[in-house]
Amino acid sequence: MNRRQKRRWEEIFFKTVMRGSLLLIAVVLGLIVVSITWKGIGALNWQMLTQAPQGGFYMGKEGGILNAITGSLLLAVGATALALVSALPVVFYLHAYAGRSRWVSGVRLALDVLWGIPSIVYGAFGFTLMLLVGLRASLLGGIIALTLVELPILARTMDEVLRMVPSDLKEATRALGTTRLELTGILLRQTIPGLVTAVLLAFGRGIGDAASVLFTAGYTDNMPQSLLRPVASLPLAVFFQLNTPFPEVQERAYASALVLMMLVLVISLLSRLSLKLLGKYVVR
Amino acid sequence: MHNIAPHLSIRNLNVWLDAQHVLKDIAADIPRRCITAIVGPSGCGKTTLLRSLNRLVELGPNVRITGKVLFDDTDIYHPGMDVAEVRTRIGLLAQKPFPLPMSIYDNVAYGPRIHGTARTGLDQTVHSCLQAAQLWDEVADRLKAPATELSAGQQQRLCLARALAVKPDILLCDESTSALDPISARGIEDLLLTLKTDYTIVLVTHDLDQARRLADYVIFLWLGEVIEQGPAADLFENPAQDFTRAYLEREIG
Ligand SMILES: Nc1ncnc2c1ncn2[C@@H]1O[C@H](COP(=O)(O)OP(=O)(O)OP(=O)(O)O)[C@@H](O)[C@H]1O
Ligand SMILES: [Mg+2]
Repeated sequence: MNRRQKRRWEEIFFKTVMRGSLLLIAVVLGLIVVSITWKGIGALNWQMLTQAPQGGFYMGKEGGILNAITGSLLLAVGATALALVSALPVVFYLHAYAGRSRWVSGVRLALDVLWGIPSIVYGAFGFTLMLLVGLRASLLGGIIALTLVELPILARTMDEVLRMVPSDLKEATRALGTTRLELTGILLRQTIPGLVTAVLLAFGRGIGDAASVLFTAGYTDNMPQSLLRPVASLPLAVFFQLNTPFPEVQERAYASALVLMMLVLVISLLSRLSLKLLGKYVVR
Repeated sequence: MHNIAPHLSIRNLNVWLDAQHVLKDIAADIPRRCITAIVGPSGCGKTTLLRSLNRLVELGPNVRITGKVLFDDTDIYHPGMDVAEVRTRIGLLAQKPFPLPMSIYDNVAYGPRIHGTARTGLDQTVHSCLQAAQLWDEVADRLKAPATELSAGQQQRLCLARALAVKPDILLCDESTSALDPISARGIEDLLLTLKTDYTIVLVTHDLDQARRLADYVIFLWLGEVIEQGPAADLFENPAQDFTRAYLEREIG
């Protein structure tokens, strides 16, 4: 085999491997989506989406999961907002001010470790914190625990997005006599599509997390009422309904999972759209 | 031109990048309202020297700098110096043009906006700077388009317009015509010649003919050291060093 043929075969081989792994992922994802839809679509109806559970809901009687839908949205929106507010300054500090010191790699390492911690640990930690300040299972408690889960994800992803900024851009900006704060503004313009993706990634993780809200947000059949009262959430709604012995309730669990999936899908599509609109001026 | 005080005066400047001694004991004067050309073979430290004249060099990793650069008798490396102010008054056009992530118009308007100059007539400023940079005719009908849509040569001129809009006292140009066709390049050269009535210009170029056409004063750099410097006429016609003569006659480099 001469050199040209060898390179051609290499190309074919790696292309095949890549296509194979793509296929594998697509098949697994497809299986999950299809089986959830298959099992849940029958139970999905208007009532399910527009009502909170009535008496006997978990034995197959009237009601819906509106409590869990609104609860999950409130939890995830609140936590993502809090995590964003705390992560943005950290990340921009790392990039516009701190340079390349050992302190910076220390912060990165810490965030990586935090990312790897199972969310049940954050749940337990949040719960201990709440006990300390006398807060009971509530929307606020859940938001705080979820913020802890999302913060490292958000900070590290945004950090990577900012690391992709060419140093030439920073220098071109500084060469115009900008201050560091003004440089931050330019960095924001350049990275906004990536930052939006990071936020949605964190949001998706937050809305799907069950373990961290188990103790901290609790669960209730009521609609969310105040920051200091417990709220329901979709992952836990799936969990509780799946644990009942009644097939029709289990079917509703799949329907709830389907709703959760749809929410994440809509968010992803919105993010695609915003990327298109926001990415217009980005320098590559 | 030697009877007036130099605009920039480089004193014993040493720069290390990653422990490599890139600039060695540079001493040179940049005369006011003249064009000074820095010439020398690739890798001799021209870009590094230019970037140390407005403190951009220190943004890189592991940089060590000693010595002074006096700008109207104040050392720009003095600890109390406002770096943003230094870079506002000493503008630099990088070797690789890099547009900001915004529209063509906003790229030029950015400097006047942040510095609060040209509040009135921002459109006028943008227009005149783009015109000066020989770009106006090509972009007049798409000022709101992303700057990244421009070709490399157009981006180079956009960066020139952007630098002019800041209204610096000194303009440092790193091979600013390298990506241009001969006609646009001549246009930029003509611009630099008109600009020198108001600005002090330092330019790095590989094109010795360009240096001959433009420069009033020349600094010849070799392996990080100044081999020879002086008025362009003397240096080109009658170099004091055999080394300089050899380079000018394209025997080395
Ligand atoms: N980040 C760096 N780390 C170590 N050495 C560097 C770094 N950047 C540049 N150098 C070295 O410094 C020397 C001078 O580089 P510089 O870019 O100033 O050269 P130049 O004269 O502008 O070359 P050219 O004409 O090709 O643009 C080169 O030998 C280069 O290898
Ligand atoms: Mg160079």
